[in-house]
Amino acid sequence: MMGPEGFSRLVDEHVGALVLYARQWCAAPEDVVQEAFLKLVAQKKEPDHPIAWLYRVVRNAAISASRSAKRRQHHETVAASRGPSWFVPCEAGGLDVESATAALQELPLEQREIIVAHLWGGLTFEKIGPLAGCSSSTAHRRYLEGFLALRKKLEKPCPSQPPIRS
Amino acid sequence: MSESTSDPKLAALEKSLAALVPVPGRIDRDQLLFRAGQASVRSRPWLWPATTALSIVVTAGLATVLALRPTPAMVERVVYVPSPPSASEPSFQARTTAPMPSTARLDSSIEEEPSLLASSAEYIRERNQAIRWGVEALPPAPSVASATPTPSVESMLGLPERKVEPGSLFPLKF
Repeated sequence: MMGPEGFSRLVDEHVGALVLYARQWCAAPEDVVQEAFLKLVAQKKEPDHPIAWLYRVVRNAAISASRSAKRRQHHETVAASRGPSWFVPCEAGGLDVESATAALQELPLEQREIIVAHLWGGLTFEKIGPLAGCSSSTAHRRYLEGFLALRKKLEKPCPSQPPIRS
Repeated sequence: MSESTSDPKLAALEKSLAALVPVPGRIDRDQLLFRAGQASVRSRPWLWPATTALSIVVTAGLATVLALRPTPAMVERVVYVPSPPSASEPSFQARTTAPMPSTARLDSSIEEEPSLLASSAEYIRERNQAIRWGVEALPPAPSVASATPTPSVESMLGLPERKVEPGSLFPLKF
């Protein structure tokens, strides 16, 4: 079973990416991620790949929460999903946070979740495929398609940073 | 399969995007760790409810058995309460533990009694023998021939004996 130190390290390293991943579906991603961590602790046997397990649990819970929220208040959910920024304001990066958030939000969900899981979650496409319900090659193809779309959208970089050289 | 893009333009964009740090949101790390500790301890939440349910079932069963148990049958028992000993009468224990008088003593006492008590003393003696040794121990009954002749009515009345002919048991003739 995972010890306190391992669990604490797991929280520190993956909570942000998991929140970003859950944010693709629901407006309250923190609750979903927190419950996922608690479910992981309550497991009698530690999963073989805890990070992939967490992403799967977060995805299922976020989709479920999104459906419940849509049934209750559709308009409030949409407004809340576009409210806060998805990233910490950039200090040394080369992209504007708001632009990156907006560009990501405009991507189709099937591409967006794969980009988030691979880029910030660190999951391989072999892990992302079963997670997203497709093959690893399909996940990789969607990833590339999403990045091509992002490049078209991100023409204007962060004002405080030099633009991306293309 | 290649994990990253082969296009340098896309690789640069990938690197720039990866440099962005996702907002952790309003998750309180300390609260999360505290709740995780609670969740890890709560590994057997069914234990105490199951114990409580088992105790309730056992209690209900015992109560049912107690309520449906048949009433015990009334048993009458004779209890001997010793009475205070009196000076004229020996105690119950003394009477019960005292040895029965032997037949010889009874016989000797009978010989000294008047003739009125002779028959009852004989009866008591034979009764004691039958109780102690069985019916077979009783002396054989005296035969009719050896029995003492019964005194006739004339002798008891003081009249002269009258001879009775052997063949005439019924002297009256009609």
